[in-house]
Amino acid sequence: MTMPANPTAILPAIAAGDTVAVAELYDRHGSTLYALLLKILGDRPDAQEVLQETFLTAWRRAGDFDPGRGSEIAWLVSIARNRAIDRLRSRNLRSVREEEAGREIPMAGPSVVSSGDAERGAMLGQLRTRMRSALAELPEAQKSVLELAYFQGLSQTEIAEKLGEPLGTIKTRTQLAMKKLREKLKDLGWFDDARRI
Amino acid sequence: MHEEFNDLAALEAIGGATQDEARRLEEHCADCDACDDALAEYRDTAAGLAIALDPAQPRRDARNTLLRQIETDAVADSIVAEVSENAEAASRRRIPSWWFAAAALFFLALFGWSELRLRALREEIHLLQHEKDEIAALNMRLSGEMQAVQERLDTVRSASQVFRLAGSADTSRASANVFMDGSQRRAVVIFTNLEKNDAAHSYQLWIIRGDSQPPMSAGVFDADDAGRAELQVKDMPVDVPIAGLAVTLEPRGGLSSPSGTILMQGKA
Ligand SMILES: [Zn+2]
Repeated sequence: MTMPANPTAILPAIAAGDTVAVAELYDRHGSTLYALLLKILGDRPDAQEVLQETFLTAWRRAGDFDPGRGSEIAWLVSIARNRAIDRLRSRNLRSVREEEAGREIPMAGPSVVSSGDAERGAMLGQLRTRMRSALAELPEAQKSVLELAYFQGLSQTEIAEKLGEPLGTIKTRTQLAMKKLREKLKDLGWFDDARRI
Repeated sequence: MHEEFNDLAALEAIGGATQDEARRLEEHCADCDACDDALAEYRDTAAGLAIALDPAQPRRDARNTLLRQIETDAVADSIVAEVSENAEAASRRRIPSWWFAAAALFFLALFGWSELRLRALREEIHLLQHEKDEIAALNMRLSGEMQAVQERLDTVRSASQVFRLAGSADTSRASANVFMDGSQRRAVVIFTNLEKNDAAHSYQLWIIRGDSQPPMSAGVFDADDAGRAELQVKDMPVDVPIAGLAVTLEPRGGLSSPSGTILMQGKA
């Protein structure tokens, strides 16, 4: 199976040196990435700085984007997350801060989309709603291993230590959570839409 | 066997695979489309965790800072490319050798070399001298371009306003970034996705005045094969309130007031 091509893909234009397209990329995904960076870093100036780095990296490496490896947003999110986790590690946070990092950003509240493109904004809103409903079906224990791995950048071993459970149990739990999410999102047609924003 | 890699893919997507696991997965996915596709979906699933968050607005000036930086970056790239190209050309052409050849000719004539050999050497010198002139012209052009590039960079860096021109219905893909440096009365406009104009027409940029007076021309430009264009605007009017910019297609060289329909526009 090959992935459906994204008719509105913008990274190929950026790879060809189109600087104006970067503005479009920023308008589409800036607020999602900034939310992720705030969640991981819990600090506005840091999040702001990593956001700039993320888009500069996207500009310089747009040619590396391969639609067969996931959506544009997933590519950007992974650049942003990797940079944020690196920064988190080098910051050598106090443990108190670590405890708080996952909870500083509220999950509720109005959804604001910066994109001037209303249709795409609405689609992003729908993706968010469906993702949240998929997440809501996971047991708390599964959600929390995802949180620790994804937003705090902990390895499976570190999570096992932190929770005082065997490594095998943590791995199985993480895999189960990801598989359930994937199945659910597949049923919702989520992946096709994620490739169109 | 695929089940094992499916498990690894689920872990890898969320940053939970060890280095060894990630390497084994990568090796397997290179030959297995099913697991490669599964990994792509797990990556999208992980990105969903970010999408599920409430979006947050970055600082307002962050966008301008980014666009200025990227424009600067792009210009630097093009300079590096051009300089290295010219340096290569210069080294290929062995610039100083015509002089040595001329000295050699004089020396050999003194020692009574055959007329035939001397003529061949004279031709060689002529050729080398010609190349030297070409390189000098190239250098002149390059330094002129460098000056223009420097001005462009200065404008982009000191831009107090960055805004966008969007295409109209027929040209909806076209867009442009405007970097306006009000204090120096100058601007740089970078266009993309324009249709290439034919030789009989030019694109023309107009200043839309805030005082309801007719638009003023800010210059003409051509789009290249890739639909891109750049325009530097200097000496923008001081006493005129600028409401925005617009683009029309006009007869070659432009007109004093717009006659074509508006193809792009944006508010300052
Ligand atoms: Zn496989």
